[in-house]
Amino acid sequence: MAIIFPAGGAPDPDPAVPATHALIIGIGGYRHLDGGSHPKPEIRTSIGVLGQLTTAPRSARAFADFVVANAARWQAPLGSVDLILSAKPGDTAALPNGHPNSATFDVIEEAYSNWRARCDSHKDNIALLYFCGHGVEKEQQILLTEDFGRSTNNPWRHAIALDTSVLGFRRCNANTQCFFIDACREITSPLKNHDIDASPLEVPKLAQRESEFTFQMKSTAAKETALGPPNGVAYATQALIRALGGDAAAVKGNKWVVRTGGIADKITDILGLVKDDEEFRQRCPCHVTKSTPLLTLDHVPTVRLDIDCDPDTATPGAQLTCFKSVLPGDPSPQVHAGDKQALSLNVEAGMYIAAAEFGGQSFADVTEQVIAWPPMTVHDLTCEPL
Amino acid sequence: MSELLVVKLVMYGQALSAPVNVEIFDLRLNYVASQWLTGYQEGSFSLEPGTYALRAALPSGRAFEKVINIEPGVPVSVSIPVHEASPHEGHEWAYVSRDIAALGDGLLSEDTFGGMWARLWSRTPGAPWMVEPLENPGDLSDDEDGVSFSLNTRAGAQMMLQVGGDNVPWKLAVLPPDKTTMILIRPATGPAGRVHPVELVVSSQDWQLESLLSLLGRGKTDKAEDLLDKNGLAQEAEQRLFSKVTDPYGAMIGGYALLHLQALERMHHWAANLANWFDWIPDGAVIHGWQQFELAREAPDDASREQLIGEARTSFLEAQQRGVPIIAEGVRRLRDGLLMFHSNDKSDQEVKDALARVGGYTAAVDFTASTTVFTGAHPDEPLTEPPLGMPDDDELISYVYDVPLADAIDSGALEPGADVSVNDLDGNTRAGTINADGTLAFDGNDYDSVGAAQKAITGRSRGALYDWKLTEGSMPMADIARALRFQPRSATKR
Repeated sequence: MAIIFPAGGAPDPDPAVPATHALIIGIGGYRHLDGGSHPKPEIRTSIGVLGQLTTAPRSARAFADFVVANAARWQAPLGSVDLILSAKPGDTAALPNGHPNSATFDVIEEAYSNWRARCDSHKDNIALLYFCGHGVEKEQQILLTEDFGRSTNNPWRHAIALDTSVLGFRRCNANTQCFFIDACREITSPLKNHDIDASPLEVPKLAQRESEFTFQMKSTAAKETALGPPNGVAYATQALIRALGGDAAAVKGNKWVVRTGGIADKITDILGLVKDDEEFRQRCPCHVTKSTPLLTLDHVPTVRLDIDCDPDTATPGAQLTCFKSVLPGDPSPQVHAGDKQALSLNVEAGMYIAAAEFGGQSFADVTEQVIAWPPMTVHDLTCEPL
Repeated sequence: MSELLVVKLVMYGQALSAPVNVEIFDLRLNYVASQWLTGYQEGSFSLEPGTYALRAALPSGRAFEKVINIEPGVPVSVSIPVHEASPHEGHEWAYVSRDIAALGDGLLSEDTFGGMWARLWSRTPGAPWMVEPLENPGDLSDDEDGVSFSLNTRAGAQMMLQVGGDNVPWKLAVLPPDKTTMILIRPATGPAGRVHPVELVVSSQDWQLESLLSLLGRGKTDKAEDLLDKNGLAQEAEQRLFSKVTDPYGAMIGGYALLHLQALERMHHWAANLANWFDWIPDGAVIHGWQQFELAREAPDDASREQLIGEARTSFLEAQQRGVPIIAEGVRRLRDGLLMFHSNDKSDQEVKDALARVGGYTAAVDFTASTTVFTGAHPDEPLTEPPLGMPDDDELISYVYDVPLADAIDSGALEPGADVSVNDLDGNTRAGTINADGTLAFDGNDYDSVGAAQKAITGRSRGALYDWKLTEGSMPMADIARALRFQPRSATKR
């Protein structure tokens, strides 16, 4: 357990002031799985062959860095961040200097309990729970803690029954509750033949109070795997950070706001931008009870704006330009130009003027207005042959 | 001095009444105005001269954007080409109303879908599931990109559509009862082995309520609430619950919407009636169970609280007994309801067993769809690794797109030894012969289908059924396939 925000540890929350409280878990080291510090081959009969992860702690750190860097932009200002990490043996670069290397069930259970108490202090609090590590699924998704398999005869004792925990947490006073889970949901062969009794972090009470705004994002569809580059940040986490950073933002009044519903709606498209590979297909199913604002941006979000010619055959002869439409008195916009090739720009969301000039050859010059919406806009200029 | 902007949606398919959210933004993309429009009505906005961004968002999530320049004294009329969202007019309903991926590269003429079949399952209360033929569906729009059609489902019966094939793991879609139900079967996007190759899209023609369901499924609950309020759908949802005697499916969508938006006060006691009067629909019991949970929270004393919780338990167990819910949200809610009871009392064997059975579905259901779609061998047997190939009893299956050449021979539509031909990329005519075993002899190889032979020539299967023709009479192979599609296999054999 390590409170990384605020510096000096989490103070008792002020019950009069709403805040955002985050519990962030990244488990790369699994002591009893293959490659761990104390491997137990016998637990393969419970779960199959699973090893160590390099992406999980790095993904959790990247998410924590984002949460802290945007401390003032959350709908309720950031109150605390507890970061729990474990790294595989020898992967010292995965952890910040001096950060505890421990993400056992007991550590997580205690951190959960403290985080829950902080979240419970005000109804307008925002509760964020992020997990990256091994996951499997049967009747519900199960997340493995670092000491999974500690009890050889009951390895699931040290695994989290996620969906039961989410149902249990819903009675917490924090009205906005977000769960970001970047973990696999495969059903390994041994799972099919065993009853699994993983441990919820909280048991739901029948007819309990229900939070109004619950948001759940899972990084992959049922039965599928969650992916990431070795020693990098998992793709779904990259997409989540981009979504929160503005890719999922929409205009509300005259501000750019990231809402839970916007993330649900756009996260799979954003994932496609993170991993721009036709053979890659990871979907992030989300469940939203009611959409609610999470972050208000202090800037206009960036959009990937691709400008090309239609037909494609016009592009090699085109001088393409693109600049932002401005009001009188605004600074002159930057002009982006592409000589005989398509434009792929990262620009502020807004309205643009795109043009293709052919110097009187082959096609008629064309100018069109384009709206650049996050996360991406593709616009083909209609080019008429001369 | 403001000017008039008139906005019209250009749509041709069945989903003309699907609500489209048209929003206007200024040059800095600040919100100016919005309206819900359908294909039946024009919208008008009164705007000051200037430059505006118009965004028309479909319930499916697709959006059309246009820059509008308003000049003094010049009214402007804009048409939004909603029809361009779909590759075919007959498929438009799915691209407008359902959250489905953009059209991928997959084609039903490819080997993967060779001999893909479909069949219908139905069950009346107390009776076992029966297979019935799927023949001559309505509104058929068949193309390599997908096959769309309508079916009239019956009142008082649960119905499912199942597809499968040599390379298509068996998959089932629960159909809305007592409705003209639209179905689209199309190649899914995504790499083989990771994503099921076929996407099944199902909707009733109740486009307003189906759109509401899509918005809720996409997490656009603010838009769903806006639609409820501005289009009078809130009253409609209540009304559907009220009039469930004639429309249980509309009532259950209304019930889920009110539950989702925590508008319990609007549900009154109609959820109980939906659960009790339609005792063959699982969804009514799911909705009623959750309503009892909600009511228990506000119960005046422990005794009434316990009674309501007991009723919720009974409802969830009853729902599981009835089968898998029609709406995917119902599967999740049923699982969650049973999880709540199980985690409070692990000795409750009835709940544990019900949870295990529902868990079988949750592992197999595609929760990105609005209606329930799952992989499995049988309506009561969801499987994460479903079978491939033909069912043992293959007499009542119907082919969806490609019809195996052997079946075409069996039906008499194709003679063994028939010569067929196609023009290659250079315009040269290439000839082949239909073998008696249902393969196509071409260029020294035997191919299982014309699609496979086409791929050998062009690298793609696209257009295979249209390009290959019987040499005698020049009949395209597509005509033979079309005559045999959606006919029970037993009816086409000589």
